[in-house]
Amino acid sequence: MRRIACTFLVNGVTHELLVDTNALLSEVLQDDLGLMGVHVGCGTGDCGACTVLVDGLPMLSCSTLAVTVRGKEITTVEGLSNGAQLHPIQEAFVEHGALQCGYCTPGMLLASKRLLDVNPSPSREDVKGFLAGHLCRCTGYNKIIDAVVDAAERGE
Amino acid sequence: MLFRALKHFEFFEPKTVAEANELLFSYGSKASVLAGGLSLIHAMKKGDKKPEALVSLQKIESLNFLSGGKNRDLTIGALTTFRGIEKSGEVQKNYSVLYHTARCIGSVEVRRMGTIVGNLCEGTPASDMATVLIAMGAKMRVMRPGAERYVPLDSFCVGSRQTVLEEGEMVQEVVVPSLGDNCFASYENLARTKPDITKVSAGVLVKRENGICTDARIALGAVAPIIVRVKRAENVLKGERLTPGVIQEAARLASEDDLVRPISDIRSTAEYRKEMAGILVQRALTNVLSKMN
Amino acid sequence: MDEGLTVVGKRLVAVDAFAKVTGRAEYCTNLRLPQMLVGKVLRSPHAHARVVKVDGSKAEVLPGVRAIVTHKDVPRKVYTYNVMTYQLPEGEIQDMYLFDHKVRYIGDPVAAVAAVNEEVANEALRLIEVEYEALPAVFTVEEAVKSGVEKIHDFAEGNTPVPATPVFCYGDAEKGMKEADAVVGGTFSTSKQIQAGLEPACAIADFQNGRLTVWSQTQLPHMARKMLAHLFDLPESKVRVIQPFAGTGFGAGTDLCCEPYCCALAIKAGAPVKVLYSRSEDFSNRITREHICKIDMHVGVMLDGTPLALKAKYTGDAGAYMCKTASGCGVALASNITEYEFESMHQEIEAMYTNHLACGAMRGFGGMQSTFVREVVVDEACEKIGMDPVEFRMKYHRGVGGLGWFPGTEISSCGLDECLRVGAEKIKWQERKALPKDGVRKRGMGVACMGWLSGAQPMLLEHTNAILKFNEDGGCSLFVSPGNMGQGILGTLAQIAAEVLGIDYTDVNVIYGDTDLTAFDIGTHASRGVYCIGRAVQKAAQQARAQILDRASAILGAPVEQLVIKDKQVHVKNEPERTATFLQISQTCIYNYEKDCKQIVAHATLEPTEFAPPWQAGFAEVEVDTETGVVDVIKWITVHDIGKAINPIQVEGQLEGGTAQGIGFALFEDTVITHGKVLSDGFDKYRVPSTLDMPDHEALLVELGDPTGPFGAKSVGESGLFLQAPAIANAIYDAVGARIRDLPMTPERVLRALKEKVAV
Repeated sequence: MRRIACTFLVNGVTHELLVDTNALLSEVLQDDLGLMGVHVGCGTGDCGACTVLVDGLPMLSCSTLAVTVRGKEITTVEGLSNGAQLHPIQEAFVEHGALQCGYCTPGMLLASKRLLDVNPSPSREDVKGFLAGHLCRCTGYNKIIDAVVDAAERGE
Repeated sequence: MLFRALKHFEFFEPKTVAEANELLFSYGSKASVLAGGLSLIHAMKKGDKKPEALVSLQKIESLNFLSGGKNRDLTIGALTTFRGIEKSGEVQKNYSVLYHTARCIGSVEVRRMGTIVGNLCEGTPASDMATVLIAMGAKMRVMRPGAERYVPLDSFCVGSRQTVLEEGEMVQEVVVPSLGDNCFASYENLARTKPDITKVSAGVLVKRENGICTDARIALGAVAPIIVRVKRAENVLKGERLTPGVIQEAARLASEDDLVRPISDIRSTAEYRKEMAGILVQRALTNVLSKMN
Repeated sequence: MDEGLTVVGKRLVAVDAFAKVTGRAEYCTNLRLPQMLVGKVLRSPHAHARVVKVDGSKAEVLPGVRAIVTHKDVPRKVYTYNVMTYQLPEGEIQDMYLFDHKVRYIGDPVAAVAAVNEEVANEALRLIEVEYEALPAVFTVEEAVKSGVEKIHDFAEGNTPVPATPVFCYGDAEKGMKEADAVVGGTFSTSKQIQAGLEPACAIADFQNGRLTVWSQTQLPHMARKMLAHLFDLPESKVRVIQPFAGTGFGAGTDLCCEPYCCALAIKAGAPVKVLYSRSEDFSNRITREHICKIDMHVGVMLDGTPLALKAKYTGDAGAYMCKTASGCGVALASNITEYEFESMHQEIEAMYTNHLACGAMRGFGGMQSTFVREVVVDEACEKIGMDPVEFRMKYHRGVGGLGWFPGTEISSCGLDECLRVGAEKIKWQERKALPKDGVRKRGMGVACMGWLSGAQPMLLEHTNAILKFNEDGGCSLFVSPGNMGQGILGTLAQIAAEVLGIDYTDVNVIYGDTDLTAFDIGTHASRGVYCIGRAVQKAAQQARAQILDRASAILGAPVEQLVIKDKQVHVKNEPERTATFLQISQTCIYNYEKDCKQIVAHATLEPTEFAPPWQAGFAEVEVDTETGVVDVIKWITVHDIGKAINPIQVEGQLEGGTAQGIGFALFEDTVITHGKVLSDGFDKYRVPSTLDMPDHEALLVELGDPTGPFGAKSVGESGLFLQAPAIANAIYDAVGARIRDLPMTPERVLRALKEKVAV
């Protein structure tokens, strides 16, 4: 098979696409669905920028064949906010200055969302451990960790 | 379709190991196995691998398992990920060395996507998991159409990124002998940054009966084209009580072993690796000693 | 000094943060234009070779290929990636041609293709036939100058475009060295750090109706425009440079990268073209930090610490093209002047070509190499004369009125004493002797400090413009042209304007990133954004304020001197009922039916002459594993004399991020090049610090004001990464008594130094 008819539930919307088997998830999300929040930093799984949630789990979209996640629910950073209402993690990132160039931000946000889903009150060490695969060249991480811890405190 | 990093290939999703074996057999060297996919896709992007067919194991439910217990061998299926190992209560309780080794990979995403068996099949001498599993006496269950064989992990690799797997073969699982009450294992590594690929490592296993070390296995990673066992160092432990003096001697023999022939590369120097092989063996054995007490 | 400030000094959120957390921010890498093509560059596999023939005829006929460009398709014009050449009257060395007859490093472009997709473009690259005549290559500065070695550039005899030249010398250093009670120093080396922004190199170009539009990651858009106009024989007005958000910077945007190839393809194809480098291509071809490969430095001091003389010689490995190596070495020397009251200084630079990837600029340009060496040598001097390193620094740093970094400049403010005091207290400097030194793991503490600059004036042209335009609602647009890499410059400039005008931060809409919209600006480099552009904004806002008051004066029938601005209203002093709102005023400027329309537009041009040095002290506590040589940084403190933090969140962010880059530079970041091939061509091989590699670290601010800065502000852009290497090196010495003189301070080097120490 070189092309497969796939269904993806992306940010709550169903997409039916004929997907090249050699297409990466990042390429389909960027090229076919026009999602500008999917940022590829290295293409080799070493920076974490391209992370998206697949059935709620952070995965590296640059190293995933799109066809292997057909039928699954995919969340990109565009799917985090509810319309104009930012997700608490997004709010915390903005308020703490947890981003500068913003290129690593989508991956950071999505991984952080997963962390808070499973650990509603992470320690700073927990955050460091969970985000170890996400490189940021701008912030030195302090404000990112602050934001995640604070977002947890804002949660229910 | 502006950007496509990978070339075209035929894509297969067999539902059973037998089907996968058939596909691999018929495509021979033109096929690659896709499990977690991380290193395969990386290699394909670089052009190091150019498979005409990809055989995905992801639809073979039976490969995603982990079973075992304190006195029962631990069996890790081909789809079990590093994250799967790390999250397993069984592993945390009875194979904590594997829990810690799995976490040597810094990125949670990489641990979630990368499979243990896939990592072992990569055949790199810097594999943390392979180093500790060689020390633990693990063996690979290799399937081929209509047949299977077990290959001890310490003879699975024949060179850097070269394994004994023949065309059409695939690894279904890796079997780790149980540690029971008498075996103690430890793993030590050094890397440039915490999540970086290991520059030198040591995995050790010591069996103790009546206070005496009755068996020992010491594996060193990233000191040769393949992960090596240093048998003179192992032998010096056997029949002895584990003491700082014995540990010291084993560490010296490990570092001086003829099989320890490291190279200088981007991550370290040959000289440093050789010296650290001894230091890490010493630390791993000291750690074992403290676990015993 | 905070009295009455309502916007400046507040912790406000960055204006572009919303776009970035929602995935709507546009970067070169995620922008798509209709009918856009994919561009790819064909690169030399040789480190040094003559290009005998390039034949694209087979590639040209491949279906889907829209353009092939080789040297035959572009004007033969000498140029340089280093667009800062335009900041000096005589310019800098220009030694590049687009697709030259020679290739000088592995990766040097020989041709480029544009095709309908990546697959076709890659196939086309394979079909281009290139015939090379390989030449002997050199990979070290020592090899480069050997007699009989093949010249890399015809004009550079002995591959030495910059022969050893004394620069910025004063006093009699020979005499000082002879008279000194103690002379210490040695030879040091530093690594070829890379900027390593998370966004790979990318540009988009489009050529329509004789106009070239380029989407670029540049930090210097107007000068990038000038260089591209020159390269393609176009008037500047026919070239437009647009800067979307950039996921990189740190100096990388002070040089061109993929823009020339992208433009050449777009001009030939007549369609928009995107050139996107893979990570490996980026790390192997984007020009790196200015590589000062070797520094020899000695200082002479008296027993009481009096610094008599500093002597230094710097050697730059330019790589294949000069770009910024010579200027990097020059700035490095200049930066030594600011810090201490040395009575004399003799410094020389030299730079050689090799067949390596060339050097551009990175944050801390030249200054951080100097700071590493100088601060380690000063630490040695303190040890030799038995003086506390903090005390030495407090006693002998230069102060207000002292010599500045560049001859003719004066220090306008200095908060270093306060930085040292705050930092020493925070890290418990006085208790450092009690740190554990027994056992395998030993602890130590180190200090370093520096003074830097806020813009490269008066050495370079630092021309800045700001335009403010008021709309009919009393809100305004601010037109400026910095580089925007996310450092927070847009919001900071808005805060300055809002403070002057008495309006809200959100009333100021910052327009930037388009050379067609904005007035000329040098852009962002040399930590100049807040200080230079900020001063222009302040001046424009003051002019706009005057216009507002004039108009209000007419409306209220009161002289300007009696008017007060508060809460977006103008009222007559002591007569709050006589009020005109900004809304009223602005409306009468635009919708004036009495034939008196005049929109409030203010324009300020600025060429600063002062350099307003920010100062900084850095403190490290480390633990050294004496068996493995592994250095763990336990605690890091930066204390920065910012003058005035316009937005403390952004200032802290710059410093904290700098700490990460500084720790990387100190401990593990290293571009490894073997036989001309960049081996460290991915984030798996070139490691930058992850969350797990960062110590407990914090950035503290000292705000004593600067008389020349906007609201007293000085710079912070580059400052964050200077002190980690020297303070950590000094802390390692404190812990184990071994001096590390080579960066990065890998465990391999630390262990070797420990052994040499034992051997001595």
